Amino acid sequence: MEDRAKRVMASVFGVDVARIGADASAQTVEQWDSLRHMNLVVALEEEFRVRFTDQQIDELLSLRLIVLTLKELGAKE
Amino acid sequence: MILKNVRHRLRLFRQLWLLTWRYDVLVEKAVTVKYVETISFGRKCTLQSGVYVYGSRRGNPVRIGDFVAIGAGGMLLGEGGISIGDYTHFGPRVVVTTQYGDAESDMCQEEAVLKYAPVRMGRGCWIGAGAVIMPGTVLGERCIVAPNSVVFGSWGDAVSLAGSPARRRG
Repeated sequence: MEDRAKRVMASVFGVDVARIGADASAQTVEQWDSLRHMNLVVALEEEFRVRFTDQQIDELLSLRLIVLTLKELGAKE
Repeated sequence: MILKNVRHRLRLFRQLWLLTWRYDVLVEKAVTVKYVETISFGRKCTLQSGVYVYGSRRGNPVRIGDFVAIGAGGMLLGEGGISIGDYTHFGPRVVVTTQYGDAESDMCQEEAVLKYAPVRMGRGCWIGAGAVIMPGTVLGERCIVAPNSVVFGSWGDAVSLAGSPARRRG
């Protein structure tokens, strides 16, 4: 799941997947701005066939939180 | 101050005149076009009343295909570049924007610091009234966007989107 999330992030942020580390977050990824955050949200929803709540959308600010939230929503590995 | 505004009106009139001279476009009342040199239209397009089309000072093309209709009050902000496929129709008050504010910048400046991302829309898309197409959005062919949706991200062909953020409905 983490690798798939990394691939989605790399695609949305326009960077090589190798640059998305385990500690990737809005603070460490320069391209992670408000617009790309929403692009990331819809891309993750499409990839994992889940629906985030508005509160979850606000909180998806790191790879760890993304993976955690995807697991909570029952996304398939 | 009056002279400044008169000059501006004359410049806008010239831009509109150039557009209708060059392209097969039906232009209704109170249409505004800026940076027309970066804008191109296909055959038999319509700009309904109150449409505002902003080309690109940065030279990014705003390409509008054949038989495209932009509904009344629509706005295309094309600084980052826009491509709209043939037969795509917009309802009233649709906004397509390719620019957004840089929230990391000093927001109290005469010129806002903006970021840009192009928008691409395929052939035969229908965009409902009041929808907002955000920078970087890619829509495939024959997509439908429900009224008042806010669209982000990349989507394939024949997708139906609704909501804010817009999600797949079919």
